Amino acid sequence: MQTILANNLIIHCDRYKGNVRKLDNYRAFLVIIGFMKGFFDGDARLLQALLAGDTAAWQKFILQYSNFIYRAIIKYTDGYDEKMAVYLHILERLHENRFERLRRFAFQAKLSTWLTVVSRRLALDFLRSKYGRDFHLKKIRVVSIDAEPDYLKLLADTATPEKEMAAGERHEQRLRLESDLQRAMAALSDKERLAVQLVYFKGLRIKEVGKLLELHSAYKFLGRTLKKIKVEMEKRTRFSRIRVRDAFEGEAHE
Amino acid sequence: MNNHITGEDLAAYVDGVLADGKKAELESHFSRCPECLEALAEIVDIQSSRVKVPGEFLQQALGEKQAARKPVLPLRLVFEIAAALLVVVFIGYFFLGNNRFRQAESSQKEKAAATASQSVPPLPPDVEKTIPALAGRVEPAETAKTKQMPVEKNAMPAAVPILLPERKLEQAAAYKDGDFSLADEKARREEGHKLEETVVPMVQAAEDKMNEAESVHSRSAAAPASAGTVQPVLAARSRAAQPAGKGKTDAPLTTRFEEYQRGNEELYHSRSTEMATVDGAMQLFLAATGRAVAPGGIAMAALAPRPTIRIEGDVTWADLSDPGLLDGWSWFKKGMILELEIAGAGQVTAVIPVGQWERSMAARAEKAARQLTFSISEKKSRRARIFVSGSSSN
Repeated sequence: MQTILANNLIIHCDRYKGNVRKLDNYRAFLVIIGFMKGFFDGDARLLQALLAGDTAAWQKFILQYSNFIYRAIIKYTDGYDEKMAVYLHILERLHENRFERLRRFAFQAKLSTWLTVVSRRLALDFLRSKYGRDFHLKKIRVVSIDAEPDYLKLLADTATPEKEMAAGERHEQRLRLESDLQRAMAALSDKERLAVQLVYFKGLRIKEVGKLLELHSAYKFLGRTLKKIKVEMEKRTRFSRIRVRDAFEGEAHE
Repeated sequence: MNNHITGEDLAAYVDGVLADGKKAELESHFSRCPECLEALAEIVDIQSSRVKVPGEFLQQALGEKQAARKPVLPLRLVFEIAAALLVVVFIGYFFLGNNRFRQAESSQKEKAAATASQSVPPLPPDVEKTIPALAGRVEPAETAKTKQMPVEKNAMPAAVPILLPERKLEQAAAYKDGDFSLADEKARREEGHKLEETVVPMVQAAEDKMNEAESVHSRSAAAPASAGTVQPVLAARSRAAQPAGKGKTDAPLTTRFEEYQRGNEELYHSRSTEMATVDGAMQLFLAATGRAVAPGGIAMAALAPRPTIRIEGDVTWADLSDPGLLDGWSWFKKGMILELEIAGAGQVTAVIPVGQWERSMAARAEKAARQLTFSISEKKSRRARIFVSGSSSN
């Protein structure tokens, strides 16, 4: 217990050594919570027992943290047998070399979050070693063309020379717009850029991103950011609104 | 930053426990590194999931023995059953124990009342001098009982009137029939009043001195010889203190019953304020089963089965145009009989109270009976008799 407490103390001291003045009430509260966690945190006690070689602690660890491992697994695979294989693989990796991975855990974050990160990494390694780097392609459903005559019609439509030319123009316009967008985003601050990427490119909820980036009002923040992007793009735009709309026409079908 | 973000830093960033400088550094990296951004987005997405691991996975990980050794649900079930049983036992104990306590108390009170009424020894004029000397030798249990008397005094009247609807009504019927075999009770009561006037101030003064003496001689041994003298005094005091109560609820039972007979139900039901130790659903349950006083606002009489009013003669209950009027006849008790003369149009033309009636009660009965209306008949005059039957069904 003393060791755990000491570890926590060192972590918190190191974290706030550089900017003691910024140690406002909120930070002080977090530090106190950190100390309290040293006393009462079951994670720390569990890991302590686990690293001491307690078999019951390992079983308790499995019961307590399997949900986090499992949630990381189902993100990448659907098959029951495969999920089971990945799950057991992750437990095996955690257990190997007398819990070497767990021993590296520095109590900086929550054990559950850290375990999610580690499980994701181990699951990806396992699946990539089995299916190759682009194992995500394995999940694409193959549809028989014979069974779907509409696809044939679509292919026939795009096969005409006029359609191919129009599609090529659209593709070119889209590339120009994308490069303009990249430039406009490069002008943003890191936080603004990250927020836009997480919301509009990675599909996270605005609320989640606001919590992650500690934004007081994520909606307003994003609104201001989008306005900046718009202004930046209008400075150098070479297309009318109609042409921009035409450029993105058909995106939904692809 | 060429290297990717470590798992520890990534987890710390997601948990929001990093310092500002480190956080800004990581955000800068995330916004420029697609792989780390992907990892961040996936971790946040995974964390928002609430999926639980299937049991087979745990069984596989822990082995069959461990899985079988994990009786989480049965253990919880056992505790739940045990808790339910405990509650049932508690309720049963409370229910029966309360009843037993009340029975014991009522019999004890009857005995004490009988003893006090029959052989209350007259206190000597120099009681103030003798009692302090005896007080030091009073048994500790007796003194404790004396101290608890005000509490018991409050609890006792709450228990006894529960028997009123049946037993006392029979007594009332006996009174009405001219049977004054209970007259000695009146005499006893008058004697009690006299005793109260003469003895109570003396006993009260003696009690004060006894309390003072107790504080000094509380550790002294009991004297069996003196206890015999002191006990009747205490019994007399406890009995005599009841009519000398501060409010209506401390009135003696016979007085209260007379008030009840006169229609003063407020006094009769005022006992509901006395027993407030049991509350909520438990009290309501006990009240509904007739074993305790109902909670405030619920009259016991409303819960207890009422005697049924019967109509016999030329008209019956079915001829009543508004039978609901009889619901308000709570004053109409067993033994009371009213003869009615009813006109052809259905109105009550004459009301004759049969037997011995108090004047006020007879007037009230006549007034109430004249409000009744019956069905129209070809007969110009009909006669009927209203009385209370013993059975609950009509």
